[in-house]
Amino acid sequence: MAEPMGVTEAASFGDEHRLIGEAIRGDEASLRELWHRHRRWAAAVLLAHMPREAEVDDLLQEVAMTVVAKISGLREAGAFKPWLRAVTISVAKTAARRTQVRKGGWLKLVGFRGEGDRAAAGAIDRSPALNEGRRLMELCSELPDGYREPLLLKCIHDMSYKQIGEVMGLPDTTIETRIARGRRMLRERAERAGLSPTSDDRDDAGERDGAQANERTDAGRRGNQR
Amino acid sequence: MNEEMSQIDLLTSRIADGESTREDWAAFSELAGRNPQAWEQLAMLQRDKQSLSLAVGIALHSAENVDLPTRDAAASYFGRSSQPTTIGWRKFGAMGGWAAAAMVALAWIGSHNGLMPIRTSGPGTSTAGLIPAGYERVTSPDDAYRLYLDKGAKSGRIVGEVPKLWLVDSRPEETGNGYEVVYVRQIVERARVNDLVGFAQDENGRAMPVRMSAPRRPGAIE
Repeated sequence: MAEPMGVTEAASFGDEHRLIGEAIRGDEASLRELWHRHRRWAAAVLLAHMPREAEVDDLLQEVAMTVVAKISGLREAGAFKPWLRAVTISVAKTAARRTQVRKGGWLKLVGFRGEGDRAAAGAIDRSPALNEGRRLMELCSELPDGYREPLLLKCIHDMSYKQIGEVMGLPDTTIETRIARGRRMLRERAERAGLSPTSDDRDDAGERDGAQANERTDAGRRGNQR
Repeated sequence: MNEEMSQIDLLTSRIADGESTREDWAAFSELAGRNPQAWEQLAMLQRDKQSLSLAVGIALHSAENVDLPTRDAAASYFGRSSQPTTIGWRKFGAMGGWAAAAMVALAWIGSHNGLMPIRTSGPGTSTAGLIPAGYERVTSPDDAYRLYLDKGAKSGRIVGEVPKLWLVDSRPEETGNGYEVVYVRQIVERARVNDLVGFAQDENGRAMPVRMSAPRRPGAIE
């Protein structure tokens, strides 16, 4: 019964290798298709390694430049994902070094009196979940690289432990362990920073999540009984 | 006990990620029977994952718009000619053929050194068509841009426009007539702010905001 899945995976794997091979030989359409498939996780890798002051889009454009200019030097199709990750990390680290140099000359305007700024800031602040997520992202930057990167990659919809392992060149079991430990470290930091739901929220969330969990457990039990 | 906690960490994480099996759920139920806080941990983890995924999703949203550059642009970025391909690579620095023509077009757009003063429309400015008093005719991006410059100059927000444009990309039109150029236009604006904040590093090398006195010259902070 596992055969159809294996066939699909093999087809997908073969398609990806064909695209990479054509891109290495200079086919622009194949390279563009590859970029569309992989740019989102590359952006997440940037997020994990870049300095806080940098912009993801700016650095992703540098990654795109490097990909176009240097893809022809790639020897093996199988090395594409680790290569793209290495390029991405290199761009992020270079940005970090540039930031060190430029920091002295930076100015940030505080309390800008333009109407547009106030409206934009208000709109951003309206979502409590988003604010909480942004604070968690800040706390993520305190985690060791090896934990931060897989944790952020897992936030990308549909990226499995196995796929993250392919990108990072690690077994999926290692990825899973790092994500679990990373989450515990993040929660501990969040609690130290006072980032936890209010008591009302906690009650609501607890009831809601507990109910969902109970449903799942019931479903699991039903499954086991079958 | 520590080993049990690690096991709970692993199982809750797997469940939150939707990668759990029936056996994982059974193992989690058994462990949660002995450690009731495991349910709370699962709820918190799911909440953290949801919030973090939302923030990361928004941070990465704009990445969807980042496309690959042309080979010419990439070669120009690295400041070198690459190996010849069917399309052909060329440095902008070499400036042959159509690239040079594109620069001529840009030179026409901006031909002064220093900031260009913004001309504000005075009482004698003629406006085509019948426009009610107090209204401006805006029918094109150029109209909107002129209006922005006029209003900005009058309000004191706009200091001037940098006449030199920064060429990002250029290519011949498919029709064979003319060139498409992509460039950055720079407007210098002025704003009043409550504070100036620079960035220093804390003992861990992280950037932290520090209140600054007014800089004496552009880019410098005391």
